[in-house]
Parts: sequence; C-alpha cells; structure tokens
Amino acid sequence: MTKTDFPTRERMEDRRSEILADLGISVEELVRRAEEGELVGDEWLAWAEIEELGYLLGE
Amino acid sequence: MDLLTRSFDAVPDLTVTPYRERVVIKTSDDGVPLTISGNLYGWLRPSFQCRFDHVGHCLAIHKANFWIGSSKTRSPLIRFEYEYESRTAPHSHIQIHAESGVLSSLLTRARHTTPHDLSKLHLPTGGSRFRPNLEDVIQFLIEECRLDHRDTWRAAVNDHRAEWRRVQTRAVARAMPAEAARALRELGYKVTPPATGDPEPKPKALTAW
Repeated sequence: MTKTDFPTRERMEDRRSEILADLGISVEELVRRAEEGELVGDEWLAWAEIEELGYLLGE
Repeated sequence: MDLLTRSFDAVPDLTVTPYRERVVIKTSDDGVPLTISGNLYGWLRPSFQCRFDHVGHCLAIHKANFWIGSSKTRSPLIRFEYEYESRTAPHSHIQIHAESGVLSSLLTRARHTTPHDLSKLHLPTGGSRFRPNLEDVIQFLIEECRLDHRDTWRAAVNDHRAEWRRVQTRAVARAMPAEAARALRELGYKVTPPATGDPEPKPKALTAW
C-alpha cells in the first residue's frame, strides 16, 4: 500500500530532534561521522532519515 | 510499489512525503525484509528524493539510494546510489561494505587516505542515464544472492525495466539529439533538425561519470 504523508516544517524538525535524541549526538557529530565513514548500526538508518528530512526542508 | 510487492513477501507500505516542491518516496520501517528459507537476514531500503519540474508535472530524481543491509549489524552491505548534483563522486555508483586485504594493500601503496575502508570507494556505474535501477538490484538479490522471492518477480522486473529503459532512451535522445537523429537516419527514418540546427549535446551527458 502507498501512504501519503503531508508533514509540516515543525513536525519534520521535531522528528529530526527525536532521531538525534535517540542517538544521543548532535547533527554536526552525525554529519561528521557519516563523512568520516564512522557510522555503525542504527546510525545508518538514522543518517538516511536525517538526510531525507534535510532535503525536504530545503537545507 | 507494484515492482516490490510482485517480487517479495511482506513488503512494507511505501511512504510518499511531499513538502513544497520536493518529495521523498521510500519504504516504511527499515525497508523490504530479505529472507532465506523464511529467516530474516537483511533489508532492501529504496529511497528517492525528487522535485517537481518547473511546471509541476514531472518528478525529477535528485537522489536515489538502494541500500542492501544486514539485519544482524543494522548496517549497509551494498549501497547503490545516484546523486544528480554529485560534485566529486560518480553520479551513479556502488559502495561495498566489505574487506579485501589485497585491495587495501594496493590502496595503501597508492597513499589512499582510507585504504582499509573499501566502502569509501565509489564504483562508477554508467552515469545518470545508464545507471542501474531498482529492477537490477532486485534481480541481483534474487538471482545472484538467491534470496526468497515471489514467483511473479521476473515479470514484474521485466515490465518495470522495459518502462525505465523507454524513459531513459527518450532522455538520452533529448540530451544528444544529433546522435539520436543520426541513428534514426541510419534506420531509414527521415529526421529534420530544427531551423536553428542540431542542438549541441549537453556536456554532462557526454562527459560526467
């Protein structure tokens, strides 16, 4: 099934904060770890979702 | 969605998230579960970042990632990636999370900055127009990796690949119209260029990797 979600900017920013809080790191640290090839385990899918949210937010 | 549900069991919902002129399309949860004899070993996570064209009719792909991951480590094993605006890495490439002592040794001698991490290598795969698609990844998983699949997978892959190739062929013709016209003339077609002459091919189509 295909679902369509219509998020607000606030909801996407909240989701991003929630992902980072679960990982316990800042977005800068996650970006650095991704660029340095240091992501492990759940950080990979978190990084993918953070990147997708950033794209939607025009960043 | 049709491609995935005809190829694998237990395909999660596809989520389409539009925001202003941008859209993200991806599978819900971790992705499509990949199983062997019914036991979970990994996942396939397709994700598309798209934007509407200037008239809002067509979605152009900004980024397309097909990650094959391990459910044990929750990390990717192979990443098929495409990025339209990539500056240094090949626009379309594969990154493999694996080890090779011989290749690492070679990279060390070449003074590569991360010789031990082969996933930092971007294996080029044909640029924007000739890149692998999701159909290729699915066939790879089923035929080469021998993962569980539905009996309808081959027809699904063939149907969707045929449509993909038609779309890409038209895109190549638009990017290099003189070459397209030449090929058609060789087949006996009568092709007349516009009054302004044959448009120049787009440099990116000719040289980008």
